[in-house]
Parts: sequence; structure tokens; C-alpha cells
Amino acid sequence: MSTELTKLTELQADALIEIFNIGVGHAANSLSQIVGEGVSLSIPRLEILDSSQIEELSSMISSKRICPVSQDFSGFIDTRAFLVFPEGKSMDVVRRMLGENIGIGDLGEMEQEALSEIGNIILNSCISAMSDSLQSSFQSTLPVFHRGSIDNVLISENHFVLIMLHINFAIPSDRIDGNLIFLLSATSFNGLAAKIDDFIQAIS
Amino acid sequence: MDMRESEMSIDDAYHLHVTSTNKAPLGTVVVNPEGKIWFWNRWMVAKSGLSWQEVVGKKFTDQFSDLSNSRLESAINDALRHGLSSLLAQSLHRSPLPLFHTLSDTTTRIQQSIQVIAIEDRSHQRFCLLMINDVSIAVRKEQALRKQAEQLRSIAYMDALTGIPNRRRLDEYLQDEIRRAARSDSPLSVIMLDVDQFKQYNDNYGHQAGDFCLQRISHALKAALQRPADLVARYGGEEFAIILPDTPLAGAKLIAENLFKHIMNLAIPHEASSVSNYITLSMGVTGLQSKTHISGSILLSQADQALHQSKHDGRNRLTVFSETPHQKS
Repeated sequence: MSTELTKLTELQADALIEIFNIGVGHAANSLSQIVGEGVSLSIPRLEILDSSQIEELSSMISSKRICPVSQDFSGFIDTRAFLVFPEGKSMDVVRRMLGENIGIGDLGEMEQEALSEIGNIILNSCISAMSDSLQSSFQSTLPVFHRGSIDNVLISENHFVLIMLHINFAIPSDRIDGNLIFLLSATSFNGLAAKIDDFIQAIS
Repeated sequence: MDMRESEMSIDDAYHLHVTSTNKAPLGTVVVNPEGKIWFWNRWMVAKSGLSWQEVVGKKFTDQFSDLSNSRLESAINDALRHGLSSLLAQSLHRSPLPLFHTLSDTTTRIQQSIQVIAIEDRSHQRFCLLMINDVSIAVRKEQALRKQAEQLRSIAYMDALTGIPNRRRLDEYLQDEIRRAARSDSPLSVIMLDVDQFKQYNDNYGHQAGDFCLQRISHALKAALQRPADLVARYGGEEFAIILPDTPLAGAKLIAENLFKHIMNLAIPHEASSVSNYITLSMGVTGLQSKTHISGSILLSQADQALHQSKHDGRNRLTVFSETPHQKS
């Protein structure tokens, strides 16, 4: 894999952040409606990593054990997407969303399902925004809840490109930082870069 | 295609598919590309009281008008417009659809977990499959478990004899409150107190009377502390600790005076006491100075030192902790 393959220009990256921010904006509306208080989501930046930089991932997520929610999307690109919070923070998110005092101190089935839906709302919104902006359609699986180490849960193949988005999750009086991760093949990554170029040309 | 299926006529295969879907113990609904209900299985008929004829061909949101602008509606739209599948968790939505265990009782809806799945027909037209699972039993189990966990938790934090918080709860609460006080730069005071000559009381009146005495003192202390954030805990034996958030030393002294009065009003006779004819207390108080970082155990040991000073000085009194010992307040 040559290194040029796994880069986006500044313009491309900005466009992608813009598209994802539209997506998480919609997701924030849906989540606010569910919890009855203002939830706001934003994506301040993204990073592109390839399989050789996987070591850096752990330090970026700042936690070895994670409970991500994933969905597979297929269309003009195929990607496995994850919503990841550092260990313990997943529980905080669920606790805030359910507005209950969860005393058991672990993610039970009900909490796992709630977290799956939160991931589902955010990931679907991002993909919808991408689908609208880049004028391509996708299909998706239902969300799946995982629990384990970063190596086991996130990395399924040897060769991949990883788009890592930092997401700020703000619920009144609380802010939780997480990550959205899109795992895709080099071919899909190039397909995405080309589509973003079309999008930039169309709007400029 | 599977061999057996290829041997079957399309008509038979279709019939078998519909029969299986109808026998399935979950709700299955298919919505067509225009958002109209296209299929509605028998479980849905049984749980909603709405027949196939009543709903098929109707727009989903017309049939269920309270679902317009809901998460379920947008999930259906996501499936039809974008080909995306969604999950509606019971814990976030409870019971979106008017489905009931028995139609004779429509006060309680079935607790639902709903999967919304985008499907395509042969000509790539997008339909949407809804699968509605009854999770009522799982929810009840979960609630029972949670209740048990909460009960266990409260037992673990309670002193068995007096029913007030125990030392474990005290340590955790003190830690939380020290952190909170540091964050908001607010004062915090801690009182340690001890029943004077309790050993003599036990020897004179017996252990059962001693236990009863501790229970009455606990109740009196609890009743005397009126703010919800104040916490009194049994520290061990006849020793109690009181945490007073948002309280400077001057305030804590007033509270301590009030505690003396409450215990005096109990008027528990104590003939063997060298201090008084009734039960009395010795107290020590200390406070968290603003912007200082002190651990809970240091704070408790300061209050304990002051308490010992009270004992040393003749009991039935309050001493404020000071860095230089043997100096009265």
C-alpha cells in the first residue's frame, strides 16, 4: 500500500468533516427528542490512519478495553463503522440518556440495547448525510454491540484505512468525548476521495 | 436457491413463507416504498386488534398518528430513502406501538424492542421490514434485578444496629464531598462524637440496654440534622461521625450545640457516669480550609484528636481541632 493512498487533502478533509457535522447535527436532534433535553454533537477533527499506524489508535482512544457499537454499510464504498467511547464512558452516556440511576455498575442487556441505538442513530445520520451530499446510496446492517480490547474488536483485517473522527457529546452539565471510526479498504477509501472531489467541484 | 425450494412451486413457496411469518411469535410488518403498510402478520392482528384489511394500504403514519415526527417514523424513512436499518431500544422508547397482551386490557402496552430493516424487492424498490419483539418479561426481570441490587447496596451501606449509614458509606460520602468542596471552593466540617463512659453504662444496665441507648442516640442525631446533605454515620462502637457540607466551623459549632441539647432532652439515665446523671457526649470538630487538599482520613483523624481533647478536659463538651494540641477552643 503506498502512502499517497491513505491521505486526504486539507480541502477533502474539511469537506468530509462538514458532511459529518451535518449528520451528527441530525443525530443530536433525534437524541434530544428521545431524552427530552438538549443533546449536542460536534465533530471537531478527523485523522486518517492505515494499518501500520494501529499502535497509535490505543493512545488516541485513551482506553484499551472498549464497548463499541458497529454497523456495516455497503454501497459505493463498503465500510464497517464504530461509535467508541473510552471504557466507563459508555456507561456514562447510557446513564445520561436513560436518566436513571443504574446501580449495577455495568452495561446490562437493557443498557447495551440503548447504547446500540445511540450508535445506530449517530452512524445512520452520518451515512445519510454522506449519501445526500455525495449522491450515492448505502445499505446497512443493524447495530451490533461489542465488548473487548481494541485489537480484538476493531481490527478485523490486515489491510485497511481508518478514518477516525473525534466526536463531542454534550448533554447539559456533561461533556463526553468519543470517536467515530470508519474502517475501509484502500479501494473504498480512494472511491470516497473521488466522490468528495466531485462534491467539492459541484459546490465551488 | 436451495434444492427443496426449487422443487416447490413458487405458489407453494410463497404460502410457506407467509405461514411461517404468521406463526412467528413476534410482530412483522412490511411497509412499501410509498410508506404504506403492505404486510401485517397475525401476531400484529392479535396484539393490536387491527385486522389485515383495516391496515393494509394505509400510510403507516396515518394509521398511527401519534407516531408522526417520532423516532420510528424517521427510522422507516431512513430505511425507505437511504436503505439504512435501525434499532429502537425498549429502554429509550418503552412502547411506541399500541400493542397489548390482551385486548380486553388496553391500559398497559407491550414493552417493545423494534428492528427496522431496509429490504429491496427484485426490481430494487425499497421496502421496510419492521420486527417487533415483546420484551416485557425481560424488562420485568431486569427491574427486579435492579431493585435487588439497590436493596443490597443500601444494606451494604447501613449499620445493622442503628439503621443509620455505616463507616463504608461515611468514607465514600466524605471523599465525594471533599472533592465537591474543592471544586466549588466551599467549606466542609466534620464532627466526631463519642458517648461518655459507655462501658460503664453497659456494665450497669446490660448490653441490650446499651444497644437501645445507641439506637436512641442515632435517631436523635439524625432528627437534629435537618439539611439533606448532612450525614451522620456510626463510626464504630459508641463513636459517631457527622459530615456537614457547605458548613464553616462556626456553623458546625452551632450544630454541635444543638446536638448537645437533643441528647440532653432524651434524658437517658446513666447512674454510673462521673459526668452527669444522664447520658452525655464528647465531641471534636474540624473543618476543611478553602483551597487545602486534605484526605478524608486526615480530616477524620483531626476530628478524633479534638474529640480526645474533649475527653481529656472532662467530657460533655466540644473541642475545635487546632494544629497545636492542648489548646482549648
